[in-house]
Amino acid sequence: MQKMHSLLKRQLKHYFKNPYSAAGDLSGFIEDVNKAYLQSDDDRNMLERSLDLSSKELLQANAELNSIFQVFPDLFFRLDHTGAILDFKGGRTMDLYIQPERLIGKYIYDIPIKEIGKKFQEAIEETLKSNAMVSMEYSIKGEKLENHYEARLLPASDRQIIAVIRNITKRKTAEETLKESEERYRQVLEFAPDPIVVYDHKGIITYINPAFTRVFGWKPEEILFKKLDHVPEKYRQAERLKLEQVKRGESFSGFETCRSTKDGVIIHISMSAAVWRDHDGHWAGSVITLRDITEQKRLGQELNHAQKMKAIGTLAGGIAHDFNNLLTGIQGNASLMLLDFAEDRIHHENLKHIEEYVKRGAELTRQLLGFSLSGKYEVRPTDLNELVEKNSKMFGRTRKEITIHRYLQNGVWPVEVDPGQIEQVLLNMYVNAWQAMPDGGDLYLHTENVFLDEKMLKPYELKAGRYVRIAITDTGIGMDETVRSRVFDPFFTTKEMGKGTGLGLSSAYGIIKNHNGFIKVDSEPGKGTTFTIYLPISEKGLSKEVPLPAQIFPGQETILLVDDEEMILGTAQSLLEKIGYQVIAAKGGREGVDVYKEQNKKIDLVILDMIMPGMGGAEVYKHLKKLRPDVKILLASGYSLNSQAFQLLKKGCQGFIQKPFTIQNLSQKIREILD
Amino acid sequence: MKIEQKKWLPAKGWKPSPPGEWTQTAQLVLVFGSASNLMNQELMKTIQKAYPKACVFGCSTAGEIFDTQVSDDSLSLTAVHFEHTPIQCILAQARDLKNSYHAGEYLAGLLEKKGLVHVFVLSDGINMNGSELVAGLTDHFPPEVTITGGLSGDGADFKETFVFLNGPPQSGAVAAIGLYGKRIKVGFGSLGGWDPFGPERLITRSQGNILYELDHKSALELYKIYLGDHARDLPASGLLFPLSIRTREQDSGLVRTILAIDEKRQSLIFAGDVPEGAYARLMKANFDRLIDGAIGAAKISYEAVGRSSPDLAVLISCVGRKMVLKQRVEEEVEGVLEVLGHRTALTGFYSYGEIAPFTPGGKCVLHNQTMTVTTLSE
Repeated sequence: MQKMHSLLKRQLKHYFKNPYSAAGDLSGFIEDVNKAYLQSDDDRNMLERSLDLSSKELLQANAELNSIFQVFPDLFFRLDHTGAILDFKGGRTMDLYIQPERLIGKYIYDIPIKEIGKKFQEAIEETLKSNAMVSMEYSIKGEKLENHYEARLLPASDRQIIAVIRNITKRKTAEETLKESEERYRQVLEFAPDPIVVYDHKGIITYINPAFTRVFGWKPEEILFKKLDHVPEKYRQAERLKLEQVKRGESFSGFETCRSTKDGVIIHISMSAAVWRDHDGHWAGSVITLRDITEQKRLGQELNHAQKMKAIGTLAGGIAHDFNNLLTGIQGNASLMLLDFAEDRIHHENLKHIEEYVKRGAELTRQLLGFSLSGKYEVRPTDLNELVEKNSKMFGRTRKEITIHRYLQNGVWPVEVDPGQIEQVLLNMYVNAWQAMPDGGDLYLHTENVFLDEKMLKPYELKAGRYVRIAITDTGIGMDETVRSRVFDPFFTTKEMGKGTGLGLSSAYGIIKNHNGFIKVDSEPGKGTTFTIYLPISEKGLSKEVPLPAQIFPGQETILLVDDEEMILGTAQSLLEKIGYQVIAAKGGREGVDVYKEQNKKIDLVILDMIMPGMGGAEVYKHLKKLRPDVKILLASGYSLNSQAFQLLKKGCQGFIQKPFTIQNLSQKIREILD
Repeated sequence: MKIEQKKWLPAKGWKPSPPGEWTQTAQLVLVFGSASNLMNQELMKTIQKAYPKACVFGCSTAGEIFDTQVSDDSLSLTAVHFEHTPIQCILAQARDLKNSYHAGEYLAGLLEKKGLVHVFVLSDGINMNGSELVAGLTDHFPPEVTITGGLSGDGADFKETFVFLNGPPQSGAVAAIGLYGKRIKVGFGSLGGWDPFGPERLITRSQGNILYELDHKSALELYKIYLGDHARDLPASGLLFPLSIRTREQDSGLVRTILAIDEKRQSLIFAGDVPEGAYARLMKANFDRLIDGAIGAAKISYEAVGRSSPDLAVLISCVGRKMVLKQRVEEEVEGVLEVLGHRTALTGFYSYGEIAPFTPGGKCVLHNQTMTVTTLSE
């Protein structure tokens, strides 16, 4: 037998005096009992040991937890299933309105703020019902600020609940600040006038703003999280280089390129790209701004064109002026000779031809001057409908293969124009249209009152306001881009050499420009052409034109001729003397002043050239006026009546005559002033 | 239902002596015995010969139950003549089985489903993952078919267990009896009597039924600390501290018993799954509660058959209980008989795992450390 258990030994001793003296047939029984006692002790020892071990483990775990709770900012409540607070831990660093130890035994939802209490009650019920964590948030307004809390209720054993309360004021504030900041930036993107696209590093679109949809046509649901290729072929190479730049982390701006819209329209854009990076600083994508500069480019081109035309105009004007002076000389000499030659004289006809050619030459220079914006000739308020009606009918009579359709607005506003010049412009348009319809066709004429704003007029440097629009549309062969861009250039023509001067449309352009209007052309090959003219309205009423007479008016007064051109002085002096005038010639402005100083008492009229080197016409006028306030002056110029001449006329000059002038015109003007 | 029982002991032979009354008509003979006795071919042949028309079906044990006696190194034989209940017996050999789940699926595939009421399963006890076996069974039987059974044992040695059907005992095998018809009444109940103690520990590393770490520390080391000197008797001594496993979703835990240890891998092999992320607590035996557990299991199965004494009760009790109850082990069997009535024939064995639903109508699961009672009546 194993060692006898002490209890058994005692018991056997009690009954048998000697514990080992039990009868043999009981020995087996005693052995089993001993075994059972020993086993029982063993079991008890093991049990005590295991309980001791587990107690130590629990104590250690408890101590660790307590340490953690000492520094844990969150507040833990242990609640029973009714919400009664059994215990609390932690929350040492939290600002608390009530000390938690005072809450033991109370109900967590019995806090003074009713809504919060109700929330807690509902959360407790939900936790018990679902046996899962329930979260809730609430706020308590303190004296100085509002504190936000998050409560998480977790089911625990025995139908208890652990409520973890955390102060989330800082987080909430940060969240709200972030939300506001995000909202602000979102609004910036959403309301930005320029299209903005955000790509990830794979080139997939992750955001587009409303401006993108407005300009390009695609809606977010059509292209978000996809790639979009809308770069026209010829721009791809350049864009690839720009993409490489972005991949290297380099932002850029102002890159001009093109894009197509959803409808396939190509528009010009100015592209800017900014790189954005992830937390590790790696390239994560790009923010691209695509500013539509199509209109800007168009306006720029128009401005360039206008400036070019202005420069050419200045040059043309100078040439015309000089040429006019020459023609004046030729005309003058021819006129002088005609005065002496009878009609039956052998050279009379030749001289007449010379006069005719000078007239035609003058007509050409007139056109050139018209282009050169050198001034209006004689403006007055004019009914454009009347003008269009009259000259289009006249044109139609000579070009029966063209059907003219007139759509003229009733009550069209009067415009301040030189009717003759406008007629010339219209005629140029009709001729151009006729030439574009070699087999006949239709010509549409529209007039309309319009209001033009600053934006539309910006390239032309004109004021916003009321205008009259005249549109001349043909159904001819039309023009391509190359021709269209040069149609107003002087001497540009599509006709063969000798068949056209190339001055008609350029002259028209200049004339309209000179009238503070502008002219546009729209055309496509095969689809006809429309010229649209805009003229500012006149504030005055309409007036009627008085035609000029064609006879020579002699005189006897003394005339001072002031001109820098010898030829003009000589010719004009001869002509005037021929018709009876006393003529004193002064070469240039200075001499003119000097002569007038000495002889002003006997001088009845001064014919004063406007454009002279050194002292020009305007300065001469000032001096003459000082010397004799009632001086009579007839201004003469190779240019059209311009603003300078206008000013002098306003100040008191009596008249203006454009070179080359005929003796009839000159004598008429002289008599108008002297009589 | 007609039943006769015999017990074989090495020194005494068969008691009562064969033949019995139902030798020619018994359809089923349940034989539970020690591994060494089952490997006695002559002995087994005598059984086959005595009951030529019966399915001789059984397994090795960690103790045999014969009436209210619990024996080691014996054979417990119960022959059953069903008057109204057809049966089907099947066995799946180890070579036919891919894994434990497949074993359940395979068995289910072999049994006729029409009219099937109950399945009684005996399985290998060392190499089978009982949880997976049960999952394979429950996934492939209709829900109205009830399943009970057990994992065979090998005393306290945990070396090799055997299952047999009409032939030599086989290791790694699994066998089942299907009971058919409307006349058979089956009741079952399963209760433990173990109490969890100490802290709850998180299973931080495991794989199936192999446990490596609790709270990131070696589970084997933890057991050795708690067992103290008894650690040298692992894995048997590990039965003294089964684990209560609770997943996040459950409130109550399943009990898991150690079957083997692996010093090299520092792991413990359990009879069923010990999933990662579940919570485990050590359990200790409460003597009185063990006995009450057995009585409680009997009561549950008694209620299930309409509160009348069943003809036969098959008791499958965990080897861990036997290790704790020791000499008093028969008290739990006596407690069962007290509940079921002395008319009921008791048989059964001490197993390495028990198969039964927690409650009648519940899902069948693998238990450890329980007394599982399956009652049969016609």
